[in-house]
Amino acid sequence: MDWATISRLDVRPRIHSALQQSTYESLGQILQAPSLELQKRLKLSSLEVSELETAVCEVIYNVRSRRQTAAELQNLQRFLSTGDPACDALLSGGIPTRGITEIVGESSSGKTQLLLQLCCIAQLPTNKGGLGGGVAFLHTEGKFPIPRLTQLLTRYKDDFPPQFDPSAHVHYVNLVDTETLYHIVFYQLPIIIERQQIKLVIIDSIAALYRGEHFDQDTKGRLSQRKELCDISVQLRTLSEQYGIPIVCSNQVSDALLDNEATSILDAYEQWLPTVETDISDIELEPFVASLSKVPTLGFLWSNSINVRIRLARGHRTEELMKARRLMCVEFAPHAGKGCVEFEIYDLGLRAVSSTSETSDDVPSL
Amino acid sequence: MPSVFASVPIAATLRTQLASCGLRTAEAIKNLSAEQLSHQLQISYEEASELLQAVQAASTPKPRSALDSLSQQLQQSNISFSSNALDSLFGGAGIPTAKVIEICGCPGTGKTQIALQLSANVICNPEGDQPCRSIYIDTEGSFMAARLRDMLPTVSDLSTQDDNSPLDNLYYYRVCNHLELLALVKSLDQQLEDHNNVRLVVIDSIAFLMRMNLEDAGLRARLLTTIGQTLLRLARAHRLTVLLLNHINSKMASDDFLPALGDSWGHIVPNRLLLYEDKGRRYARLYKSSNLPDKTVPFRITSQGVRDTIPDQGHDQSLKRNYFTDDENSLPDVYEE
Repeated sequence: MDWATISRLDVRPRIHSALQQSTYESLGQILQAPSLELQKRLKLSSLEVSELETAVCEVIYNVRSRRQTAAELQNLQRFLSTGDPACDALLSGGIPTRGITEIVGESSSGKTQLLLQLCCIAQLPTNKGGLGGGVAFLHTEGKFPIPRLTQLLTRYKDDFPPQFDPSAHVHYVNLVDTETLYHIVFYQLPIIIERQQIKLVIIDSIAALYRGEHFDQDTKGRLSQRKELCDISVQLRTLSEQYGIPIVCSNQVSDALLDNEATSILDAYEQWLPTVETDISDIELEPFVASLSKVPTLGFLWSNSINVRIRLARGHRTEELMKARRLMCVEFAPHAGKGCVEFEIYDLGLRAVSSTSETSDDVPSL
Repeated sequence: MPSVFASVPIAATLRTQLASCGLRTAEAIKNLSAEQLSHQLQISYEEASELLQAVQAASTPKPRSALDSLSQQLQQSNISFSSNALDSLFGGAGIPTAKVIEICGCPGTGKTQIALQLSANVICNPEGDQPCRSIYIDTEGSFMAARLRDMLPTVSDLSTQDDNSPLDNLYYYRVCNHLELLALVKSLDQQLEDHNNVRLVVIDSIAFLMRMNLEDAGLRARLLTTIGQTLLRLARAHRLTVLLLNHINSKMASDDFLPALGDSWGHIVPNRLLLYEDKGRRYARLYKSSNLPDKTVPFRITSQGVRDTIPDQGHDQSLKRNYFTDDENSLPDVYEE
């Protein structure tokens, strides 16, 4: 082990020199090693080993400096607005600035539209619901929709200073395979976050790459892919924590394959009915149930890796109304209960639709 | 409660010397011989053996009758879930002290919410004039202080304190990788000696950092055992409750859940509580316990926290009738197996 690492340990010189001659390469190895192994390999007494273990714990996790109280944390919690008051109310304030938020839905349910809107709002100052910083956009599905982003930005042009060009602060990269995604998340993202004052990281979508690649791989290949996904989620959460920025990923859905179609639709009814048709929001579930019955991809491994899941659903087209109806639901979140809002996509972005007179009283229109 | 080591009569200078050698717990000193101790601390053999005797006398458990431990258990205040149904899983008054409990469930079934509610109930119920503390170890970043504040039970005698003070009694630690988690768990002993009256330790979640990202299955099993054993020991020694949140790995059939981390971990945790959702309603099932029957109860989560279900569910039923022509029998509120 190199001297720089060893000297950080607050132990007696004898232990320092024993470490210097040892084959241990990192403090992590020492922490994970059983005490008896340390005694043997470092030729130290049990007393010296316990001194060493205490010192290693202190360097790896300094309990005193890392401790926060709930009262302190209360003042640090911030949210990124979605750009619509009704959607923000649904999310109890917006997208939390710590952790991974997933936006999942069928194709053309409005995922990318919502993400592009977040690109605009993240750059607004904090008093307008933004985070006052740039955006890193990892794009995996075809071409990045620059014209649409420019169109959306016109809605907010009065909120920015005259010389400020918000589109200059959206840094995007098109990704084609999982290897590049892994490399960027681990090596380039931390640097760009620091240098370009990034306040929001978007991955659109996490599913496209992991679904598309390696159809014919064996068990070992699948395992390593799952490990990669675990690593990415740990790294994204660490970045979110370190810089206090939200990570927003979109995900696709697949048809529920386990049951036949009728059962999965029935299940979706039972699952969503208490959420959708409540005393407060009287949205009819029927048009959206087929969309809601679909299952987010990447399985439990990914579902367990995210903090918030926002579900977007698309209603089937009806004869008299050619416009697609869309629904935004909170499936789970640590700070918000389940609920849903109907929304529409118009030329300047995304806004809630007040379906009944009751909701329009609660929600001030834009 | 005061630690064993703090209660041993030792001279202050000797205590500092002990600390400088990394000997901060009675556990560490006990394992040494008098020769080793006298050599390490540069004190005479007699002094060392006296010290050893004092430490041993203080830390050897004295034989106790079952009646004694029963009466002590009855004195301990339990931690309530704020829901009578959930409390009834553990005998009616909530979680007894010195228990290690795992809560597992799919995302969104209420694991974090229950952990927050239990924390809120701990920090709001002082024992006498001593405030109770809670430690929250967060591996996922799901802790929301504002949500905790909403869940605080309204205490009538808050007038003497300002509103924030219960929140000061929750210590929050964010860990970002498995090494940090291991180091923190190993230093908890010291933490618990520094802060008395810690009644609850939550790890939210134990699974996230111990998944596929640890490729070496042997290493993972060993680390989990180390963490599990340490927590079991702390729960007994400091009479605190440990709450471990775990993921669900796969759902084989509709009612067959498989908690993450495998069988070796399943043997370590003495009590397991499974949370699941069925037809939009939440249920908790105690399916592993050393002394309590397997039982399933419903609960709900409101903006004020974890609560009992309202017996009258007529509104939901009438809505369902629009969609299902064959009227299903509603689930009984409590059914036992």
